[in-house]
Amino acid sequence: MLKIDSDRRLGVIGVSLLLGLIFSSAPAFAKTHEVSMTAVETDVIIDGSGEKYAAWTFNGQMPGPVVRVTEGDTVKFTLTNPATNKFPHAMDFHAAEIDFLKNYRAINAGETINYTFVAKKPGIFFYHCGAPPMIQHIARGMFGAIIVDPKNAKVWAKADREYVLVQSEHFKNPDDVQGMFDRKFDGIMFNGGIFKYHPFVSGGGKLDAKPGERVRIYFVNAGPNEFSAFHPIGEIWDNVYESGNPANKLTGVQTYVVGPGSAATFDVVVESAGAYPLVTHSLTGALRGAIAVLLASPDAKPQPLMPMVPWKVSTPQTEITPVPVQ
Amino acid sequence: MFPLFSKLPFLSAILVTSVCMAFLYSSPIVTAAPSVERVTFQLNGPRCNVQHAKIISTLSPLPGVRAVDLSSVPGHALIDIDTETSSGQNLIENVRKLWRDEASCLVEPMQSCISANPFDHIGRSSTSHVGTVH
Repeated sequence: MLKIDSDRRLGVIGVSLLLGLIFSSAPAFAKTHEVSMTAVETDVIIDGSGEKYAAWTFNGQMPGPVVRVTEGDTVKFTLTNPATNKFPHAMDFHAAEIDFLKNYRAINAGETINYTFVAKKPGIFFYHCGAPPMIQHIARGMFGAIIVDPKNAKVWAKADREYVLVQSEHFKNPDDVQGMFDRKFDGIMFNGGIFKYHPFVSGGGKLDAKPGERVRIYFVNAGPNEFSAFHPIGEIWDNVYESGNPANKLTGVQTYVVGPGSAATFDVVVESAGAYPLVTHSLTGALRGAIAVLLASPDAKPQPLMPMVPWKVSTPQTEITPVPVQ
Repeated sequence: MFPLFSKLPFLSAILVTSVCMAFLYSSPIVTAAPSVERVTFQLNGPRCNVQHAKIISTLSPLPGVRAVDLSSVPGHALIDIDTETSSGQNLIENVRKLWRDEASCLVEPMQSCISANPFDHIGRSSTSHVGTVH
């Protein structure tokens, strides 16, 4: 009798421990995020002179808003295509593992679509409109980034500063779909702007950091066609994580290729004050817009994940004033 | 359809001309917005930091200068100029005249592999969408 009680007690303890282990490793604290976006067909500013582009966007900005969740979280997504729009639109999240026919279908103006997914794998992922012709919907600005933070934050070094950069091609004529198929791009943009983070160009800004900080760049290549050879001039990537997954770790990388529709996370520790341009080393792209200057200075101030989105270019004043950079 | 035109051709011509002239003169005059270009100077020398005020007061009155920024990029002057009344070359010539005897802070046009405008070897950058390296 005593033996049975003792066995039972041991069994209860064992089961309790087992349950404890299960619940501590499972996404017990997983959250549910209600993410709503609206397809907005509108003009956006794409260079420092204030040039406007007839874009198709998520929430009126190019790229769309950064979505950030943690591994194991649930995303309840809603896309609205207002009746005032002219074209069908859709949403394809690369962070999701769900049926594309049902969930990524295009909806007409005046319609709404909802779906739910669990962000099972950590990383940085692309999202984009998949309505046909998809090449045009992406080229015109319907793209963005979703960060899925690892459940265990200690799986990689803590970043002191973070930025999201989304590379994409600029086609001056937004209706020339054949030109898009023929890869006749006119510029390459970071976060929807030509030389947006190039302080030596009129209207350009910069990305700030302090010397010694670990700067983490969540990089997405929206394409629609060109590959990016992402390189920090004057530096070496301390670590590159393919698709932003901490398990896919490379060390001491000079240049890393990110294909269209792909993404990677880049860590760099700038050792001394100065300028470190982040470029695609495919130079036809860099010198036509894809240069982002990371400026390391002891008095660097905090900046948002995607600075200057949307880009509000200030017209220089008629009197002498400091050049606005934000 | 327009019997007046056939019966009174002279009066009709005057009428049409008047309407056209009135339309033309009442329309707003469309002028192109002046193009702004950013010229970058590198500031080299031990006394550059204490000479910011002098640099600003020297550059600001020059024709076509719209804005002078010495704070965004340490050691550099970012100058926005109106390309209709000034040019990067013009600005550089002026600056060189003003600074020729100044050894404590050398002001030189910036040139680098990330200069956006490739066909210009004086170190100015613009929003031109073409480029070259070194």
